[in-house]
Amino acid sequence: MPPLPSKTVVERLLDGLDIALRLVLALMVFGIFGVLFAQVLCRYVFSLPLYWSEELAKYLMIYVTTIGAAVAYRNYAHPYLMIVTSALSGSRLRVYDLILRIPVFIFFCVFAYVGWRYAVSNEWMTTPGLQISFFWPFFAVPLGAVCVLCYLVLDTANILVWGRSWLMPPDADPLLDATEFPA
Amino acid sequence: MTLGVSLMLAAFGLLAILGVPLSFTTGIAALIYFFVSDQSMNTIVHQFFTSIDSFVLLAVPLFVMAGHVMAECRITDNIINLANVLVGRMRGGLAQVNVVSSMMFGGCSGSALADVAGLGSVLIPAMKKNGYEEPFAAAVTVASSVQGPILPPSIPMVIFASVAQVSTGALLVGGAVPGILLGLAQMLVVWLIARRRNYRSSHGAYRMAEILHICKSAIPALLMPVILMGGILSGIFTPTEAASVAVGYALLLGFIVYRNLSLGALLRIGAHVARDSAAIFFLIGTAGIFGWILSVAQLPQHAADWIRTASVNPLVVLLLINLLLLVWGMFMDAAPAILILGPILTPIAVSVGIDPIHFGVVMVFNLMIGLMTPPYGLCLFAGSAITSRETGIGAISREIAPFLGISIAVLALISLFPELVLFFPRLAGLI
Repeated sequence: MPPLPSKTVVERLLDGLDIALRLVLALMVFGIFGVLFAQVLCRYVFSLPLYWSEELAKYLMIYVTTIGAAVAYRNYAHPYLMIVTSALSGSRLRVYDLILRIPVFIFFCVFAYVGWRYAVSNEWMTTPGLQISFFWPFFAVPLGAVCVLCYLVLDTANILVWGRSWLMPPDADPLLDATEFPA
Repeated sequence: MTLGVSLMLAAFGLLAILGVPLSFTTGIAALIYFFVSDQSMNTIVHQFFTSIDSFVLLAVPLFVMAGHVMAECRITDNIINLANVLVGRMRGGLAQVNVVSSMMFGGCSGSALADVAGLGSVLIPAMKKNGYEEPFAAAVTVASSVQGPILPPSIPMVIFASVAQVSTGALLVGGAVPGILLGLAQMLVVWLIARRRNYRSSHGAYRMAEILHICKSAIPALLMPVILMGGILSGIFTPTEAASVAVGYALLLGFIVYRNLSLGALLRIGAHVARDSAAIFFLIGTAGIFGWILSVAQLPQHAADWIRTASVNPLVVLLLINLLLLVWGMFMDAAPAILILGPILTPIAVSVGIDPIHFGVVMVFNLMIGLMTPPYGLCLFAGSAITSRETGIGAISREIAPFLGISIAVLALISLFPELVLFFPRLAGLI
């Protein structure tokens, strides 16, 4: 078997996607802080209450939630029970993880499809504060679902082709027994 | 119970145990319900969206951010020094310093894990050097860290407030007395153990100039909870606005007072906050779909009606709920536990006359105890990670036992005497 590259094409793609999403997420989180802090300042210092700030902060948080869910999935930041996974290791864990991804994949496919349809069907309404189409706040749902699906598909390809994964719990080193898993 | 609800609950239990992330588990289970009962899938997106489209919940990422910025400011040394001035001369000085530091750190960051990592990495080696056994040092660090999310600012309290539709300010203020009581009770345990094992005080007398210098360094950080609580109690700002002021204050400290914050660190913190908040919010969204189905099936109402017709004593109900939460908290993190159990248990508690604010604080207290217990106590794991390899989770757990006992005693006290929780929120006119 030829030696494995230090990083596969898929891993480099995943890294790029991760960096881009993290940057966007960080900016949105500081946007939420900035908007709410400005709301307090405008009310008490300038006696000028902002009518759109709460809405903007809430919609930014909805984008942070759906896009951040993808980044959190890659980093095992979503809470989960370790009753079964802690008893498995190596290639068994990898196969087990692949099976667990099937219902997750189906869920996000439905979420993306229904979310897109829902956003389009609400396009005609405008939000009370920002006066933008309701399509934009609802668009966060299919967008985030597609981000999760990107991570899921890319990493699954990485497992199936190179036998490596970054979606493993931190204590399982996928590089250690990468050759055990049938490509 | 309809076929759809039965299948949904079965799928939830199975997938959760198999290890699918809980936020996806609740979503997948809800999807099964919609598929079987042939209802419009649009409700999934609508309920998900409306559950996270909440101004109250915006306090969560902001509290997480304030905590991260404060941790980046390296306030731990200042807090430890101040705690040393206050309690270092007591018997078992450094262990007392550990508990008091957690109380002060909890008021600044609200994160139990940040407490274990930040204070533990300094205090566990220091305690070891001063003759304390490492498992005991780790046990004190882990046990005292759970004060953080009980004292304001508290993320679990905000989540409970959104689930139960009660005042966030009242819950945050309601956690203050139980949190302080827990700290004092833990100090008592430390004192008793120190007397039996002959642990000494950590520091002699300080000179006045030293005390003034230490206070000057620590007090800016400790003003955080004062600003937060002062703002909420006086009605100047809502809890969410208070959280944004807390972040602004933390940034002010980092850039101007302590001068150890950089723009690069801020970007890193932002990405971290987004990731952790997204994990909580996604669960809130999918649990919202789940909760909607349960309420359509009238499960919480049926349970509450059953309890009411059985004319069960409220104290018995509270005792049973406490037992359930203690066991549940041993296996599940606080946020998912509140989101899954909150909508079911709160109507039951309210139906027997328990105040929802009192119930919320009792629930959060219960789940925080789970952070220090095996088999899946997150703080216990974090504490074990910063000790040497020879000190296993078993040894730390044995040393935690007396702290666990006293925590349960404080829990019993706040369960029996609601005024310990409700007095200050009532005084401030929040309930």
